[in-house]
Amino acid sequence: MTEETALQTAGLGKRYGRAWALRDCTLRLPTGRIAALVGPNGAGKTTLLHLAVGLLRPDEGEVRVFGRDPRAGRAALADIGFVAQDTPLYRDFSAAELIKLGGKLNQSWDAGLAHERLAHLDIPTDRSVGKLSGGQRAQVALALALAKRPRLLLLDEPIASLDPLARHEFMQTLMGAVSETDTTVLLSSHLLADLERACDFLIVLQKARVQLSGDVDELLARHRTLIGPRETEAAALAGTASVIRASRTDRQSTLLVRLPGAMPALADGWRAMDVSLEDLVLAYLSVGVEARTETMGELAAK
Amino acid sequence: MIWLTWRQHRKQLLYTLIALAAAAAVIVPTGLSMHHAFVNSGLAACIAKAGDAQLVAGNVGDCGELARQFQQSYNGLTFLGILMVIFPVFVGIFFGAPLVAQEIERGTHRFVWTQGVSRLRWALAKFGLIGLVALVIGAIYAYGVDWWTQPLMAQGQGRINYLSFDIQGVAPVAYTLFAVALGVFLGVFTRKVLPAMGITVAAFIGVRAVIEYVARRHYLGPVSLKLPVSNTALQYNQYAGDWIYSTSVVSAQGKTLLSSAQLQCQGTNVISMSSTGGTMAVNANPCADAAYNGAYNLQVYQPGTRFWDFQWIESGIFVALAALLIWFALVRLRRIS
Repeated sequence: MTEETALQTAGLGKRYGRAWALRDCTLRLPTGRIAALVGPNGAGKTTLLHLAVGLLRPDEGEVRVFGRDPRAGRAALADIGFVAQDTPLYRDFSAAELIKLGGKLNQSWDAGLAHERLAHLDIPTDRSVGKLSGGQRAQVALALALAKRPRLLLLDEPIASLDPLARHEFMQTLMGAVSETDTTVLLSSHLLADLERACDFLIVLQKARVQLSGDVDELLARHRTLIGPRETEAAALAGTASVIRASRTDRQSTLLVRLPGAMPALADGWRAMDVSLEDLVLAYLSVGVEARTETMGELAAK
Repeated sequence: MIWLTWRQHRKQLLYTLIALAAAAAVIVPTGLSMHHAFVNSGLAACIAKAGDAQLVAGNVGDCGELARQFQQSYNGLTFLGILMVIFPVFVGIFFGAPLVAQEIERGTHRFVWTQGVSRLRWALAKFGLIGLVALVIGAIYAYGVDWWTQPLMAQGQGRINYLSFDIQGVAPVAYTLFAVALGVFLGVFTRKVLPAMGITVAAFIGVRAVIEYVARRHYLGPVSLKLPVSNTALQYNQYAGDWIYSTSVVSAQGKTLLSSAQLQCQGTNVISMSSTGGTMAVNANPCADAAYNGAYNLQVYQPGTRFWDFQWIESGIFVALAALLIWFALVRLRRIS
C-alpha cells in the first residue's frame, strides 16, 4: 500500500540554549491517520508540533508537511490547522468575530461550517470567548481550525485542561469532524488513555527523542510479552529482535520483546502474551537511548 | 489585517482621542487668550521690529516691560509646555509596547501566526498601521503644541533652545514614531508587556537626553559674532531666538579676558557689564584697563534661523533609529514560537 505522506521529518532537532528540546527526530506520518503524540511533560511534544506548523525554525534536519516547508509561506500554512496548548484566542473577541477574522486571514475558509458546528454545540457566538467555559473555548478553537479545512490538523494537548465530560465531547466532535474528511490528525497528550481509543498511529517521545513511531496495529503485532523460567532466557530470545523491557524474579523472567517478523517458535516452558498499547508506551518510555538507536536502525532497515 | 488591527486597537484609539480632546480643551482656550494678549499688548509688534538680526540698535528691541507683563500672566503655563515633552512616550508605551508582547503573553501569537498570513506580513501590517496611527496622533499633537507655545517662545528663549525645540516643528512627530518603535522592539525582546513599558520609558528618556545634550549641538558648526566693547550703538538682539553656546570678552590678541560675560565701554566708563563667570573683582573697571584696549565681545551661537535645519536633522535621526528598531524587531520576531 503506498500512502501519501502528511508529515515527514528527517534528523529534526531544536535547541534552546545548550539543551536540545528535540533531537534526531525522524518519522513519517501517512495521510488519513489519527496519530497520538505521547510523552511526559517536557519530552518535546510541543516543540515537534511547533516545528510542524512553522512556529519554530529547526536547528538541524528538516520538516515537511505534504512535501513543503511549513515556514515557506502561506500556501504551506493553508494546509495546516493548529490548535495550540491552552487554546489561545483573543478573549475579547466573540466567536463570530473570530470566525470573521479567520475569513480575512485565510484564503479558503468555511465560515458556515464553523457557525454550524458551534450552533450544534449550543455555543453562543455573540459573547466574548473569554466568558465561555474552558470546554466551549476549546470547541471554538477546534471549529476555527476546522474551518480552514486543513489537510493536517495539529492539536497540542487540546484536552489537558478540560474536565472529563468536556474531554469526551471534544474528542467526539473531533472524531466526528475528521471522519467526514480525510484530514490527518496529530494530537499530543501526556496521557495515553485519552487517545487510546481514537488513534491508529502512535509516536512516543521521551527526553527529546522519538522512542517509537508507527501504525498501532503493526506495533502491537510486532511486540510480545514473553514469560518463562529465567535460566532458559537465552533460548527464548532466539529469533526475537530486541528486549524492550525486562523484569525478573528469582525464577521467572518477564520480557517485552520486539519481533523481527512473524512470531518465532516458543522455547520450552515459555508463553507469549499480546501487549496492550499502554504496556508498549510505558515500556518505550523507560528505554534508554541505546535501545532506541537500535530500534531506529532496525526500522530504517525495514 | 486592517480589520484585525482596528478590532484589536479600537478601544485604545478611542481613549487616545478622548485624551487628545481633553488636552485640546485646555490648549485651545489658553492658547487663544495667549495669542490675543501677545498681539494686543503690542509685544508681538515690538519683537517683530527687532527682527532676527543678531545685533540691533540700542533703542530697538527693548520690549522688556511688555514682556514682563506678558510673563506675569502666562509664564505659569510654561510648565504645561514641559509636560508636553513627555507625550510621545505615552504613545510608545500604550501603542508600541503591547503590540507584540501582549500577543506572546496571552499565547495568541500561536493562533494568529498559524492562519493563512505569514508572520512577516502580519508584523508589517500591524507595525505599518500602528505606525500610521502614531504618525497622525504625533502630527496633531505637534501642530497643537507648536501653535500653543508660539508666543511663549517668541518672547522667551526662542524655538531652538533646549526643551523649546522639543515641542516645536516636526521633531515631536519623529519622537512619537521613535517611542512606538522602541515599545515594539522592547516588547519583542522582553515578551512581556509591563517590563516592555517600563524599559520603554527609561530608554526613551535616555536616548532623548543623549541626543539633546550631547549630539545636537554638533549638528552644525556654531557661528561667532564679534562686537567691540567700544561699540555702544549696537547691542545683542535678545529676541533673535538664537541658541547661545557662550559669550565672553576677548582681548585684541585673542585672549579670553572674561568668560560668560558682556561688556560695553564708552571711553573708560562702563556702560553696561554683565558677568556670570566671576573672574573679576567687583570694583574693577575693565574699561580703564589697558588689556581691554581693542577688546570685543564674542558670542558663539546657533542662529535661530537654523531652526528648521536642526529640526530636520533631529527628526531624521529619530526616524532612522525607529526604522532600525523595527528592523531588529522583525529579525527577532522570527525566533519566537
